[in-house]
Amino acid sequence: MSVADSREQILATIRAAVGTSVRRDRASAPEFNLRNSVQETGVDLTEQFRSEVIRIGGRFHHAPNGESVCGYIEQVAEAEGASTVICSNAHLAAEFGIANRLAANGIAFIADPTASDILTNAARADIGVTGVDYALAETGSLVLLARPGQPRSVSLLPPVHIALIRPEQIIRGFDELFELLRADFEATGVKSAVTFITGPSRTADIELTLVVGVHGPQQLHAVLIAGQ
Amino acid sequence: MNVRTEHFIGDSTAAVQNKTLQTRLRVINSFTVMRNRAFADLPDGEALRDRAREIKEEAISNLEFYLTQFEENVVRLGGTVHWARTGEEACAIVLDLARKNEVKRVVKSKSMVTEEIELNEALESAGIEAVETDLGEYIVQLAREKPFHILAPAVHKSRGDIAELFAEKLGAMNLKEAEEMTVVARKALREKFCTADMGITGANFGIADTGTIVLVENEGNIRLSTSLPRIHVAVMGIEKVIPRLEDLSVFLRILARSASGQTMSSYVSLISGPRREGEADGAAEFHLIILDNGRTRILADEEMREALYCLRCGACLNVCPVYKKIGGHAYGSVYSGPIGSILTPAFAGLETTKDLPFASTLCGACREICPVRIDIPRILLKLRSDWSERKIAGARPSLIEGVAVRLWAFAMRRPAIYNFVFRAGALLQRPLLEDHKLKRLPFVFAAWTRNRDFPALAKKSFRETWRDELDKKR
Repeated sequence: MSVADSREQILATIRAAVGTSVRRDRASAPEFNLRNSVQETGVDLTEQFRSEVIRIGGRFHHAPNGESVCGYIEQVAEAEGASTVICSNAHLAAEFGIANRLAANGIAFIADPTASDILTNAARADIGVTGVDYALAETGSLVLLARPGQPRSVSLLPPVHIALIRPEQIIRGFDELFELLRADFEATGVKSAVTFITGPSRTADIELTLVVGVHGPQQLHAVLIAGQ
Repeated sequence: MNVRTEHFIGDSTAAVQNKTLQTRLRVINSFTVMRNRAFADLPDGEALRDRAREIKEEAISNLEFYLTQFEENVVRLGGTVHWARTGEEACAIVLDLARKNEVKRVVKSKSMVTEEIELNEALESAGIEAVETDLGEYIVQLAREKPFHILAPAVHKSRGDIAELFAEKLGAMNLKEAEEMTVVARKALREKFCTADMGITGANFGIADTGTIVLVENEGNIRLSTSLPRIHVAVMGIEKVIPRLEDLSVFLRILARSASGQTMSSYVSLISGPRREGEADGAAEFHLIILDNGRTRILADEEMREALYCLRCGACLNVCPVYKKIGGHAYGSVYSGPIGSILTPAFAGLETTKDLPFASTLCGACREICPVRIDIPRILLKLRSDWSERKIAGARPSLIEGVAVRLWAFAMRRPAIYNFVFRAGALLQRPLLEDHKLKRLPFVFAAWTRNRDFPALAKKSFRETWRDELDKKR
């Protein structure tokens, strides 16, 4: 039995079971308006994002300038005894001069890994530094779109993930996010991976005891870069 | 689907008598406590559940359209779509891909559907190493057992059990704390991730209008399985398709809350096709296997259909008085608990699994907690009636039970006889009473009291009490 036959058979069985489908597009989808908690309350988005990040076990740092960003990364690197830091979105690193600061401390800095070396580099790095595309106040989630220059491994393989966030990237929550994602997909195509990161990696598989840091990072630092 | 549900009576009896297991099962309640707390903090939680059900209903009743739209979009993004009518077909597709690509090692993320089709066994017998990477699944795989719970596969094992297992299989000695064990597993599995040729996942949702599969997890093993190996194969049941990207804002708000009481799980991955040109990581090849394996049978039965709305959150297991007493293994199937009592008979046939619909108190707790409000007790009753009224092939309802129920029905319609029988019963029960309970019924009724007490018949019936109280008022 060939694959094509299986397809036809499954579809024919479905048709026989529920009849022919109604063709719907998004415009004809039933309306649904929820009173979204986040939309309704007048809570400051940044403040809500900060408190959600902390609630789910992440750390939040407010960096008023580039100097503060570098200082914070240095501080985390020192606390963790890091010898290698990997960074996606190299323009971020360049903008703040992170590379030089770390080099002065004897820490290796890998910017913009490529397909041939990313696995080795991300796997040996102690800290991964990334930007984000969106940050959700509703849940404290960071949303990263895979693209050239923003690989998936940097926020995944190192035991510490530091995410650099700009204030305009903080949005209310899911409703707004999916609108923005839709617009992005329509303009430049559907992205290969959209990753939501909400706190550090965790498990409760052994006696339902919460353990932080399984396969993904044990620490998640959300660094908001905003002047006051 | 292979099941050992024909041993249900023996297995569940053994589980009830297993003191260690009974202790382990006590932790299950904490899932419901956390779930309720998470929903209490969610405004419009009830409306969201209604909406989630509507979306599922829309998808399932227009399944052909959404599945083909989904397929079209996956292909447009560079993915390959395969269709499998049975578990064997799905396994054959995976094996074929593995052979063509000379795959030696596969990393797997927790997926009910790959358990259902017994993909690990198929891979192993073809000489391919298949490693479960979710911590709970990894433990269960090392122990050569089946998952005990949809969400927490190894929740029946104590730290001591796992320490022994890790010592024996991984040579990691003297582990005491869950943290230490997690570190050992992380190291062992990281090595596997970095050297695997193929990652296999399930899918929580398939979004028709973007060609996206959605994967929800806490550990990061799914992200690793989809990011590092060259080939990603996702196996998805036909019922997992949802119409629109925007629908996720409904499901993401209720899924983690229902499953683990989290507002959001640590990671959600939206995977749409293989990595694009210029990207440094992500699978270079993306294959989607759309699986039927008995689902269209559920679809064809209007009374059963809503069972396909299931999100596999596990909330119904956690509230079920039967599951909380017998645990997951007694069900003899990867799908346990109330929803399992519907899915297992649907996939494996009622003939070998008929005890499952009967193993329910019909209390309705599952229906109340279900995020998409599946009326599980109603479907269980339907399965019981299918069996008892021989509506399905191979049904062999108990003759004694049939006679008993007919006698009952006869008496119920004749108050004089009914009253007489129960008065006589109230007198006759006296020699059998222990602590005002019937602990050992004689003859054919003995089975009833093998594992439970029967409450003593009241001296005065409800009808008598009612009448007397009314008399007093007058």
